[in-house]
Amino acid sequence: MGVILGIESTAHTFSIGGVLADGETIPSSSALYRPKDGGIHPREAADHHSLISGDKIKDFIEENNIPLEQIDAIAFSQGPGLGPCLRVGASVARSLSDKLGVPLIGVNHCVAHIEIGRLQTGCDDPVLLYVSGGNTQVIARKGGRYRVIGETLDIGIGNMLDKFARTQGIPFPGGPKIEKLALEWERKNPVTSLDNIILPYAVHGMDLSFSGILTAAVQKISDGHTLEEVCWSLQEHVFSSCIEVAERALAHTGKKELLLGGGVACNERIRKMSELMCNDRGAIAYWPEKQYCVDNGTMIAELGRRMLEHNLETKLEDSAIDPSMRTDHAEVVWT
Amino acid sequence: MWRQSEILHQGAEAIVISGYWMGDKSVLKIRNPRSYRHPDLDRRLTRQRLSVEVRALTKLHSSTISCPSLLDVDIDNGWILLSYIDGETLYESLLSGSSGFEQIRDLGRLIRELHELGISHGDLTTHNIMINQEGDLSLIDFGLSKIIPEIEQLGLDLQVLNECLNASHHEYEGAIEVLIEGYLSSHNNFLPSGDEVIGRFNAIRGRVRYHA
Repeated sequence: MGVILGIESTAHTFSIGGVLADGETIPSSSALYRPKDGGIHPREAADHHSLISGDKIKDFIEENNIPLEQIDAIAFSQGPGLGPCLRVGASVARSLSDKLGVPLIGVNHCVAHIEIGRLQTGCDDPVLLYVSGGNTQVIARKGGRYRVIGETLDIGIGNMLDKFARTQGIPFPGGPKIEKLALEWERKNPVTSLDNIILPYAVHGMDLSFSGILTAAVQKISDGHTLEEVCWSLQEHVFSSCIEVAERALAHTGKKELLLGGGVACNERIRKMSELMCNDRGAIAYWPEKQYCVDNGTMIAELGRRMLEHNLETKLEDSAIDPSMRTDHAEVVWT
Repeated sequence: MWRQSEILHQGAEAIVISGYWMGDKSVLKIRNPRSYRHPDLDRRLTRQRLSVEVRALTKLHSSTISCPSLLDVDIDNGWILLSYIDGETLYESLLSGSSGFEQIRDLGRLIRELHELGISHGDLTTHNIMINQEGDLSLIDFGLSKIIPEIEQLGLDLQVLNECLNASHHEYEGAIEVLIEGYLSSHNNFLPSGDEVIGRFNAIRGRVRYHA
């Protein structure tokens, strides 16, 4: 059976994955650029991606025994993301497509998070709460397009967590360590009051913001609160605000399914909160396996597969990357 | 004193029930605890939002802006009793085509009037704007409002509405520009001026991720 390959390179991650024509997934092979210090430097990340891309692709194809003649198409993240990083994935995809003589399909990274979630969980028409480093958006399908119903007005939630972690000497990615510290605090303090450590809660209608809470959390450390306690309070505040906005989106659109996506969706606390919220209002919460929450090539392949079914190929001259590609840029013709 | 009739809406924060209070048609809004939120945070938010809603409605009561009248409130138990606003939501009205650009322009003007009273709404989606048979607009749900807001909050009101118009009412292309016309049609000497607020709104919409 034919295979669609997907190449992801919007930010830290270079990843290649695949999906069979019938929708069976082939797990991705990924490499993560970890800055020595500070945040992501787009050009250094791009250098990392171009250095490892050849080996990653070779390994992926060999390990999964994919005969080259069975590759039906090459999908790649065309946007949104960091220009230099996107360019690496696009170049790799163009040369593979040319070499193999198969169609090239440029896909929207945010929409790919929805499609892999739908494929993996079986949900049909969800509101997506997309929580990652660069993005925090609430997305739903309406009038033949995926539309942004709410979003962050400043930084992404993952970016905020990483930045806070960095101030405390925790290396990238900081989210998993923050989750662990928060859990430790809860374990040591089963009855504790959140009123002792109040942080800002920034919900603006359907929108969110996180820069104020970042400043406040750092201040709490200077005030003498332990790192564990601040991590705990930070998670309780920011995840609640995301779930509140997700619930607003469910109420506003009348939809009954919530899907989590993005790296922060690996967090058990936000998963639990989604479940509680959905149970209370007769909706259902879904999330894909962790390997498909984080950026991965398989999700790009899956969106490529849906688009290929409708002959939505990308001509070479239309394959330029678009770092600020909007979620509603293209009509959604697949079901 | 209160006789319940039907559940109107299960919102993200409250259940809205219609009924009769001393014989008058009214609405009971109950903010039940959200089980996903830590109880301390939940209590804090419920109190804050009920209090600010009470303050905003009290302030608006003596104005020309149409909004529910406050009948009763119990902050500890999280409920508020309001007079009933007749009509449908602007969301439904725009969807069915009973409302259009004319109402969007009126809405712009109404938002400016609200801002000139020193109140930001904080949650301006088309579900929180009501329209009656005569085409008169009312505002509801002031739980996220701010009294004496900073210019940022005024700009945010327009951004929240802009996003809602894009996501849910994309048939009305250019709606936000019509709304802005309405917003700028008031010439009261109130500060910040309409132009300043629109300037801030444009800065905010340029700040979000992937804008048009």
